[in-house]
Amino acid sequence: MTVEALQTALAAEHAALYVYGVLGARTSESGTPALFAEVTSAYATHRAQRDVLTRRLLDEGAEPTPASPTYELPATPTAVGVARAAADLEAGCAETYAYVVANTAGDDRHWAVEAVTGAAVRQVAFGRPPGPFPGAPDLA
Amino acid sequence: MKATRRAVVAASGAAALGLAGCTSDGSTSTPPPPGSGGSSATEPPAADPDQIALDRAVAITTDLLVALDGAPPGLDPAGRLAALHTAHLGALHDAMGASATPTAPVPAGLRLTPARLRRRELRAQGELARLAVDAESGALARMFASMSGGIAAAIADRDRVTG
Repeated sequence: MTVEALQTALAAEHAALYVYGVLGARTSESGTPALFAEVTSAYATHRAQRDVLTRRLLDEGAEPTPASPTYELPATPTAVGVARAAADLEAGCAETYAYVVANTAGDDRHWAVEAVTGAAVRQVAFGRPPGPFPGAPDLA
Repeated sequence: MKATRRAVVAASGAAALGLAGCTSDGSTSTPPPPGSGGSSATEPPAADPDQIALDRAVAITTDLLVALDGAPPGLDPAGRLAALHTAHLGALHDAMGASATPTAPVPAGLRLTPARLRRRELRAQGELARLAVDAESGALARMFASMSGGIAAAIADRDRVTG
C-alpha cells in the first residue's frame, strides 16, 4: 500500500510541476510580484517533493511513475485566474497527501502530514479562505 | 454526511482492531504474568490507542474553544477560529460515535493575547500532527492530519491579514 500511495503522490507532483511551470510563465514578476513569488516558491516546493518521492520509491525497489507528456491546463487569462488555478492545484495536492497519510506509516506518514499542512497553507497564500478540513472535504 | 463520516472512521477502527488481533498472538504483546497460564480470557482488554488519541484530540480542541470563548473581543474576528474548532469537535464526536463522553470544560488560564493565541493554536496544530503520525487507523490519521493542516492554514490567514 505504501508504494501505491507514494506513486499516486508522485503522479500528482508531476502534474503540479507541469501546471506551475505554465502558471509561472503567465505571471509577471514586475506586474504581480507577490503572486510571482508564491508561484515560484510553490514550484520549488513541489520539485523538492517530487525528488523525495522519486528517491523513496527507488529505495523501495519500485520504478517511479513517469510524468505524462502533457496535462490539462486551467484557463488563466488573469492574475486572479492564476491564483485560483494554483489554489485548486494545492487543494488537489492536499487530498492526495491526505490519502498518503491514510495509507502509510512512520516516516512516510510524517512527511505526508507535513505535505498536507504545506498545501493547506499555500491555498491561503493564493487567496483561498482556510477551510476546516484541507485534504479531507468529506469530513466537513 | 455525518453517518458517512462515522462509518468511515468506525470501519477503519475495526480494521485497526483486526491488525491488533493479528499481532496479539506473538512477539509484540506483553507477556502474561507468572501463573496466569497465558490465557487470554483472563487478561483485561488493552486500551485502544486510537481511542486514547481521539480523547486527546477532543481535549485539545475543547481547550482551544474554551480559551476563545473567554477571549477579549476582536481576538477572533468573525469567529473564524471558533468555527474551525467547532467543526473539528463535531468530526471528532462523530468519529467517537456512541462511545463519546462529555469533556469537562478546561479553565482558560492566562488572559489571551494575540501572541498567546497564536502559540496555543500552533502547539495544538503540532500535537494533532503527532497524533496523525501515531494513529493506528489510517482514516483517523487522515482526519488528524487534516485538522492540523486546517489550523495551520487558519493561522497563516490570520498572519496574512494582521501583517
